[in-house]
Amino acid sequence: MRYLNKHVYRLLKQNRGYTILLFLMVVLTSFMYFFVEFSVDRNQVRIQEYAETQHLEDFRFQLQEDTDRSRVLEKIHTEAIIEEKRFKKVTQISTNYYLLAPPQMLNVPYLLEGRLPVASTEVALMLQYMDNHALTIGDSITIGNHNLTIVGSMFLPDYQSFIPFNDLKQDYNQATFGVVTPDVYHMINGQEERYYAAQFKPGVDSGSAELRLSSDPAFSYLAFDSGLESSTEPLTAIDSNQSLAHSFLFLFTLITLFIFYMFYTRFIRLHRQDLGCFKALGYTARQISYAPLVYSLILSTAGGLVGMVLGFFGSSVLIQMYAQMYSFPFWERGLELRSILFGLWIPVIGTVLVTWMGIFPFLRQETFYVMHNTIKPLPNGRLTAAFQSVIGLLPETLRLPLRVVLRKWNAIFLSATAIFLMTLLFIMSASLYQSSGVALESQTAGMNYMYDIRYPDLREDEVTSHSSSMYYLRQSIQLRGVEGQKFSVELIGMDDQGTQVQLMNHDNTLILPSELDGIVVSEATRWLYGIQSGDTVQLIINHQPHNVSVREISQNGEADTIYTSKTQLARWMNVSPSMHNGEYSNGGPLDSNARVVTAENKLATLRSDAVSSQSSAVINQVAGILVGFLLIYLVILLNVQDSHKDMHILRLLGYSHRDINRMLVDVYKPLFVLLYMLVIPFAILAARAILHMISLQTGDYIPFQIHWWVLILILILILLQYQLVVTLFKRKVFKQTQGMELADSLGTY
Amino acid sequence: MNIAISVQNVTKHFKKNEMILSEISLDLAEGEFTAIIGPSGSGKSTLLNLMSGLLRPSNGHVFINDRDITELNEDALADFRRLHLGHIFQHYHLLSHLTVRENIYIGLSGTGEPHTVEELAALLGIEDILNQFPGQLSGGQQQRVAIARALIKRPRILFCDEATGALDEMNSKNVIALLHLARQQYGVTIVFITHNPEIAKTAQRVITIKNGSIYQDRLNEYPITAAQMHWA
Repeated sequence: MRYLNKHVYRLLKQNRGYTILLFLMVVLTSFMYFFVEFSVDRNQVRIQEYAETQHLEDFRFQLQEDTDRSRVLEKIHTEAIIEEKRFKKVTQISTNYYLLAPPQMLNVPYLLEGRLPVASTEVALMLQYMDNHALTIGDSITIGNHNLTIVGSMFLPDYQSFIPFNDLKQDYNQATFGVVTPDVYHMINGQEERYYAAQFKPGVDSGSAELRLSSDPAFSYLAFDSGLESSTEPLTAIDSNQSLAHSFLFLFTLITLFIFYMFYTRFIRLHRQDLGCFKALGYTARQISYAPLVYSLILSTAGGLVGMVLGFFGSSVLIQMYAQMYSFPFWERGLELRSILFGLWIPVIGTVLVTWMGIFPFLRQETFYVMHNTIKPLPNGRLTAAFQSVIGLLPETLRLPLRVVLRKWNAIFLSATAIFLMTLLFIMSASLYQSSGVALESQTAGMNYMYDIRYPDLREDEVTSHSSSMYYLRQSIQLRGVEGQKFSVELIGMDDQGTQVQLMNHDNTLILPSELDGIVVSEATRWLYGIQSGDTVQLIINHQPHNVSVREISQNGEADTIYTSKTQLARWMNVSPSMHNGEYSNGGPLDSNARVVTAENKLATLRSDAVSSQSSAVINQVAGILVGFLLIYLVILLNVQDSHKDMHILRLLGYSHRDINRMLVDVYKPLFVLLYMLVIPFAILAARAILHMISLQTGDYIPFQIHWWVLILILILILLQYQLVVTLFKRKVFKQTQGMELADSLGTY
Repeated sequence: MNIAISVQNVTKHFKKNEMILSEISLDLAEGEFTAIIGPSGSGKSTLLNLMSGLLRPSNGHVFINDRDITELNEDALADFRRLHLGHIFQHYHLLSHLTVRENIYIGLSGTGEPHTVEELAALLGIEDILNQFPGQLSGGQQQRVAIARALIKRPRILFCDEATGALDEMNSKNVIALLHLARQQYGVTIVFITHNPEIAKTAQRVITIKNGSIYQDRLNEYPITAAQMHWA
């Protein structure tokens, strides 16, 4: 057994180039999985623990203006702890401060360093903001007219994603929550938001309580914790990244297994006489398979471990990104045992199984067949014959290269996989890159206002204001699509007296909602929920259903938003058509109770999303280049190894290195171009579906974009990669054929 | 006379209508050197492969020392070969990554009392090349190593498939002489496939195969020695 294994190992080691590639594929598979998994695993548990011990909020609400507040609160109090939450937004130069008095029961700030303020000169700020501005405890900042000393750095458990109540998502570079003492809170002027946070008391059946609360008309706003983006976004993000890790593992494992299978079928073809000789000497198939199985086991285990180690270091990039994006104090890099087993065992078991499948059935044949080349012709004999006939019609210079290309179905399959993956990843990358601009453009075009002012109550329109303002009614509603699925969207009833917001259809014609009996859906909303012009959808407004027709799709407008006329929405809301609860304005807000979103802030948020899309685009490009390079390398490697004898013969016949390269090495270009043409529709469909899925998961508008020049650029990129690999091989082939000449001259080859 | 190999009504066809061997029956005695001759494509190699268990018959049975090897599964057959049978091939089939010594060792069955490498090396005249690799040896040396590999486990039967087919006269004579020497010293039964009638003259029994059937089966009362062979 010792010498049997020794010999088989040596045969396996002869394929050094291929072995390195197998190893790299396992490393890549493992790395892509562990890179994400290290940043996800422990944090899933940690975030859930944080929610249970620190967050404590089960739902939040606001009450209707005309409701008997004390009666409703008293009723809720029987089954839940309630705490009123207030914060003031103070905008100063380029920073938004969201100030709050120290919470008492729910969502108590988690202090990392220092303490909460106890004096009117003190403040505690978010850690990320302090880090980004190099602030430390003891430093002073000025908010309004108040000079405050920082006494603590903190996290707010109910705002793990920085989306302040009723406001746009904020960036820790330009915004922070700040806890101040109640007297400072009262003294500082700012736009105030109020709502109630609540936690079910022990013993309350939260499921039935939620149902009861949902049907209560006393609430103007009611959201349960599972639906609050500000607290669920980090968990959603890491859950979605974990799905991505599993998809990576599955996809890359399949490719790796295919390459392992090819390796062993080729190994058998090359060494069948040696393997047959072992059988003739009386070694069993199991004994002969032992070395290849151990070889695969070692290769895949080592590759898996190296990938895991690289993933450990690589995951710090993701952890840092999470730490910048989300406010959570316990980001930790780590793995659960099940993830280690999953990430290592799947590729390891897969490779061992594929090795067994590649070798064992072959060795179980009668020894005579193992030793002698009695491979039956492939079942696609007719197809091959048809190809050969077509090739026969081509010019002589093309015949040999094409025959070389078509002689191996597995190389063609591998080429198709490489081209498909590269095309898919590059299309996704280009689409992500362009979509950020398109999303920005579509959500800002036709928006000619400086302030979006939202009032906590309904107000009478003032005719004199129409030159600088455009009134609207805004209502959060539920939309039931054609297939019955429900989405939460904003419905805006627009006044047609102003020009501050102008919706345009795809023919660049102005849409006037007042002239339409129905609704207008923005392109962003259409992309997300698949609503088409002419569809009839159901709007649930204040618990009342209304069936309406989608009249237009506007090329601009906000995501998750649909539009109608103000008169129409007033009718649905049962209010006077001369009332409004918001305005798009070019003049500053006069009412301190109004909540103001500046166009500049909105733009900053959209730009921040654009940067995130562009970073994803870069990741896709890198993945495309890596996968493409490895697979193209493998295709050419297989071809060169199998053409060794042909090269020798051609060299003996006096062909130059250049001719040999042209005839046997650089032969895949036409196939790659053809495959590229074939895979484009499939890659486009797949990229579109993936982007749509990401859009739905993240709620971001990531429209699919593709231009003809992008397709040409992708082809050029693929051919450049191919050329690079071929150049590497040309050198190798030159050395090999040189070696052959030397061997010939010595008569030992 | 003890029977080493008994072939009973063996038929072999690879494709449906392509009969390679038809209803072959024969018994080979223990310790006998049997030459199987015949023109190319007559089925002589197929018969050898069936007797040695490298192929399975389409019909019929092969008994080796009263054991029906056609009834054995692939693993049991491999074990049986490893314990009791030796093979020498036309193209040697030495393992290029192992030294001569290791190539000989790999023929060991792991049971019984094997020969030592040194003993066989002395017998076959390969003492000086034990640490070399097959790529460094001549054809004759390689075949001697192959004989040593086949003999080291003290097989009961040695199957030789055109074992001198790739060798020149001198080396062929040496190999035949060594095989006869091994038979005499160790009592091994030898089945030798060849198309060379001179080699057949050294055998005690000569079976001629034609068109998949036994054409002639005769005992050679006066076998010549290897040195007496006249090379065409």
